[in-house]
Amino acid sequence: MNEWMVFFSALSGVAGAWLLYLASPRQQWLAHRSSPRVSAGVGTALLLLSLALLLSMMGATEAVASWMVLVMLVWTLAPFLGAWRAGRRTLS
Amino acid sequence: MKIRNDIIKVYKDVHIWVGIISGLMLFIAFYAGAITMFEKPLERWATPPSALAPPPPIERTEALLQAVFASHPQAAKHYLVVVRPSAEAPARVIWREPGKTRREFTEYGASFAADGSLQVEKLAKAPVAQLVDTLHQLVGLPFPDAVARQIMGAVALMYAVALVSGLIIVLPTLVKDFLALRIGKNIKRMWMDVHNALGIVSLPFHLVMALTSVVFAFHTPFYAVQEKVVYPHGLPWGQHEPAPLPGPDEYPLPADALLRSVEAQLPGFEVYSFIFREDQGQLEASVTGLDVRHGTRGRTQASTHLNPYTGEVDPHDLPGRMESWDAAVNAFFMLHFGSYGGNAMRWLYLVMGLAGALLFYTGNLLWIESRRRKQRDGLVPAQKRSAQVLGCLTVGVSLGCVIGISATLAATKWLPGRVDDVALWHQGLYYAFFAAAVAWAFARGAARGADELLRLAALASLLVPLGSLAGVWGIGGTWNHPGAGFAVDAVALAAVPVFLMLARYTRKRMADGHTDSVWSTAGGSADPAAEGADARAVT
Amino acid sequence: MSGKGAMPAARRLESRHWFGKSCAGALLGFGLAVALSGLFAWLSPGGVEGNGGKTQFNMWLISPIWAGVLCFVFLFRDSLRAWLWLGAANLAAFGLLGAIRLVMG
Repeated sequence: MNEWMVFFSALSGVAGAWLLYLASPRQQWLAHRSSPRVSAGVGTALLLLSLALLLSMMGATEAVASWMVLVMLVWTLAPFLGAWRAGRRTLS
Repeated sequence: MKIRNDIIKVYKDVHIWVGIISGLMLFIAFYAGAITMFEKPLERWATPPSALAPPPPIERTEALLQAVFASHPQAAKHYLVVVRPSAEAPARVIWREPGKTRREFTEYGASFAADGSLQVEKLAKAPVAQLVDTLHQLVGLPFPDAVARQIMGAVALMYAVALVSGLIIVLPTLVKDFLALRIGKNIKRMWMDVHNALGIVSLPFHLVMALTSVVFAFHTPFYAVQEKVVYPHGLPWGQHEPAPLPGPDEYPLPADALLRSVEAQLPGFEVYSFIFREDQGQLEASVTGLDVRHGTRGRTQASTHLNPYTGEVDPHDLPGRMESWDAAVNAFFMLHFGSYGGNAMRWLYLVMGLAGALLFYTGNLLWIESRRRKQRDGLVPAQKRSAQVLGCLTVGVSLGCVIGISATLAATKWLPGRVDDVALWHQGLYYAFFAAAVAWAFARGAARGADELLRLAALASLLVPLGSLAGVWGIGGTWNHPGAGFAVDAVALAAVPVFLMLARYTRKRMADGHTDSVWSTAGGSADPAAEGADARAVT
Repeated sequence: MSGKGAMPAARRLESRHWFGKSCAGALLGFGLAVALSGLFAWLSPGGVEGNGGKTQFNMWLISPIWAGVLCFVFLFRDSLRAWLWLGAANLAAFGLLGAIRLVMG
C-alpha cells in the first residue's frame, strides 16, 4: 500500500464524511448551514472516491470495513466538535 | 419511522435492564480491548532487555541451529526462526520446551557471543500485555477462564439485545435527531444525545463485536451440539493432503533462502518468522507474517504452511487467497480484531473502542439522570438509593479499570528482578487498585469519588512514562527500548491532562451543577453520615 | 414490527412478561439457531460434508440467529405465546432437519 494513497483515501473519506455532517440539519459547526445540497453532493463524491481508492489498495471486505470505520468515527466525533464550537459561539 | 408506543416502552425496559447488567463489564471489555489493539508494541515496550548478544545475520541461522541442536537436542522438535528479532522476541532462534500442562511451555532463545560461543537464555516475554488482553476477553472478571468465558458470552448476548433494543427506541426520532447533540439546561437530553451520538452511527461496529464475541465465548458448545444434531459423520474438517515425503537427497533450505523464496511468492507479505516442527524425521514448516492489505483471523499475524525442502508456500490459509467459506470466516475474525490496514486501522479501532467504553458509561449516567429526584419548594431531596449505588458503581468500576491498568503498566519496568512471578504481580496490582477504587467510590460518593479517582488515574498514567524515563538512565533495573514503544509512553502521558480535565469538570459540576443530583456533594445524600451508612450497607 | 401473530390494537405489549420471554428466547432461540444452521449446512452449496471453512461458517451462523431471536422475542404478546410459537418453530425446523438427514444422508 502506497502511503500517499492511504493518506489521500483517508483524507477524502474524512472530508467527505465531514461535509455530509455540515450538510445535515442538526449540524452545529456552522452558525448557519450554507448550501447543504452542494456540501452533500461534494461529500458523497469524496466518500465514493475514498472507497474507490481503498478498494484499489486492499481486499474488498477490508476496504469496505476500513471505509465504514472511518465514516463511523468521523460521524461519532463530529457532533461533539460541532457542539463544542456552538458553545464557544454563544460565549463570544 | 412509526413504532407503536407500547413496543417502544417494552424495549426501553429491555434496554435499561440489559444495559445496567452488562454495561460496566462491557466498559472494561472495551477499554482493555482498545489498549489490546496495540498488544505487540505494548509487549515490546514491557519486555526487559535480553542479555543475549545481538542476533547473527539470517544467513548464519543454520550455524546457530546446529550449535543449538548439539547442546539442546529437544529444540529440534519445535523451533522458530525470527526474521527481525526485537525486544519481545530477541533471538534469531527460539524454541519451546514443554511444561507441566499442554498449554504451558518455556521459551528459550539463542545467539552467538562475541567469541563465537553459543549463548542460551530463558526468554522473559512481558506478561502485562496478556493481562490486558485477558481482561478484555473475560470482561474484567477475576474468575477462572471456564467460568468467566460463559459470563462473557451471556454479556455479549445481552450486548446484542441492548443494541437492537436501543435501535428500536430511537427509530421514531432517528432521522429528526440524527447527529444532534444538544448541550444545554436539560442534562438528561444531553446525555441522551451523547449516548446516541456514540451508539447510533457506530452500530455496525458494535453488532460485529457483539456477534463475534458470542462465538468467541461459545464456539466449543456450538460445535459440540452441531456435531450431535447436524452432521452425520462428525464435524467435517476436510483433509489436508500430507506433505510429500522428502527425497533422500533433499535437505531443508536455509532460512535466508526460505525468506527469499517466500518474498518472491508473496509480494506485499511481510515475513515475521518461520516455525518448524519435526515429525518422525520429516520437517514441517509454516511461515507467519502479515500483508496489511488483508485482515487475518489471528490477532496480529497470519500463518500458512510452507514446504521447507522447496520453499514452496501453500497459500490456501492466507487471507486474500482463501476459498469463499474460509474467507467469510476469516472476515468475521478480522472485523473483530481490526487486523487489516496496519497501524492506521489499529488507531481507528482504538478510538472506536474508547468511544464504545464511553457509550456504556453514558448509558449508566443516563439511567441515573432519569431517576433524579428534583428539587421542590427549595428543599433538596435525598437521591434514590438505587441511583446513588449505581453512581458509585459506575464511577468505581470504570475508573477502577482505568486506574488498575495504568497502575499495573506503571509497575512494568520495576517488577522484573524484584519479584518471582511477574504475571501474578501484574494481576494482583490490577485487581488491588480496581477493588480499592470501587471501595473508594462507595466510601466517598459518586461525585467526590469520581474527582479523586480521576486524579489518581492521572497520577497512575503519569507513572507509566516515568518508568521508561527512569529506564533511560537505568535507575533501579528499569529500561527503555529506544524507538520501540515510545507510543505507549506518549499515549499514557497524553491521558494525564485528559483525566485532569475530566476531574476539573466533575468538580465544577459538584460546585455549580444541580444540587439535587448524585453528582452534587450536597444532593448526593442528605448528610455525610447517611452516605457513609449507605456505603457500608453496600460494600 | 408488530411481531408474530396478529395483535388486536387493544392488546398492548407489556414488560412484565420479560422473564418468560427471555427464557424462551435463550432456550428455544438457541434450539432454533442450531436447527437453522443445520438446515443451512445441508442445503447450501457444498453440502454437509464440506470443508473445514464451511463447518466453521455453519457454527458462526448460530450466533446471529440466536441473538436475533433473543432481540425480537419481546414482541410476543406474552410468555406463553413466545414459548408456543418458538416451540412450534423449533419442531418445524428440527423436523425438517431430521427429514433432510433421512432423505439426503
